[in-house]
Amino acid sequence: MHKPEAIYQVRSEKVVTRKVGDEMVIVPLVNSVADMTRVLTLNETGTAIIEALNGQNTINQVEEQLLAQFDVEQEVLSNDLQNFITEALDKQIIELIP
Amino acid sequence: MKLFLGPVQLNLSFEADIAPQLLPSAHFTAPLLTPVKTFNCHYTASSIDLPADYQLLFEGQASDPDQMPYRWSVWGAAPHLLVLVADFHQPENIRKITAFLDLEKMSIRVHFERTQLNEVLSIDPLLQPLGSLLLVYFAHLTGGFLLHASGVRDVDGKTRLFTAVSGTGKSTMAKLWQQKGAEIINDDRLWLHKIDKQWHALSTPMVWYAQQPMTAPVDQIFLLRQSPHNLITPLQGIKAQMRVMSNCIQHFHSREITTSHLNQVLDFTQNIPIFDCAFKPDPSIVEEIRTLL
Repeated sequence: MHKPEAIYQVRSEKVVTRKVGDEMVIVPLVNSVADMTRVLTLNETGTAIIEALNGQNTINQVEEQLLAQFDVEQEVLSNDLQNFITEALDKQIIELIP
Repeated sequence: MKLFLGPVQLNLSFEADIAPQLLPSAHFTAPLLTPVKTFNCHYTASSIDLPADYQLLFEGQASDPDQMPYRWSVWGAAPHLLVLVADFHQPENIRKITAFLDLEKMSIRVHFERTQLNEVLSIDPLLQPLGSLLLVYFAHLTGGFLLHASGVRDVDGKTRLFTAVSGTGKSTMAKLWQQKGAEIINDDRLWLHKIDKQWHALSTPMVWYAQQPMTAPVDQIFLLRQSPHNLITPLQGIKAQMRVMSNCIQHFHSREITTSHLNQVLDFTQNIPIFDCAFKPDPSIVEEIRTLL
């Protein structure tokens, strides 16, 4: 469980991101070499989440922002957000701001 | 000697111990497009050690050591300073290629390590894998990229690309179209390059035969899958675009090059209709594709 007051941001030195419409592509960099075998694509929701993880919003604030943006129940969203953060940390796309 | 690869001109010069023999690139001696970048390439038959300030960026090995009897690697000392190295397992006339690239000065210095020191080395200046590795950088520097795909220009001028990993039917598909009157641009690898806001497919020198330089504006792209039945499905969105990108020849060592590559591929895939194409290898697929709007 990621804490409600925690703040996350994209590890911009480790990825190249590019938004296309509502979707996003993320190319991981390993020592600035592109790892084209681990390219990720995000749908509209994933893109909204990663954009909300901007190094300023707490998880609570991200959740509020997304609730206003999408027609979704709070419990479902909260779960999805937790899973997204776990996976994004695992893939080294985002980091916790200490 | 001059060679013309897509929008790139190569001015080649050779030490007296090398006699250049154009094989795959024999037809690339006149420009098909107006050159936008010129590289000066100097070739010597003296061996050289890799300077200590170069770090390994990528390495690769052929899956079939008989067809591709070498290991290759790319080393970098700065974003614009690269060395391409190829080591041959069963050396015939050369053991090793070491090619120094300066992407800012647009210069290439190629060292061949000979097996017979006292003989003049008769060699193709774009032999494998040097030619293929250089193409990746030439395409990048001129705003394009390389794609594993076959391309055919139909009798009505419509040009279609068929992209897939090896062994999925790129060249089979090209042959089926040829039987129906279309012209094959290339059956394995294409250089995508934008001319006057329109993406074109260019042929490149191949390994096994003397390819003709050709270019055509691209109309449609098909992601190939083998299947007992034909099924063509139009695709949209980022996932389809990334399926095309996964068939690109892409080894990039800096954020700047990666960003530029991503931008080019996204622009290409946003402007060309993409289809998933399950097909059985017989001429019926040609007629089905021709009926698509």
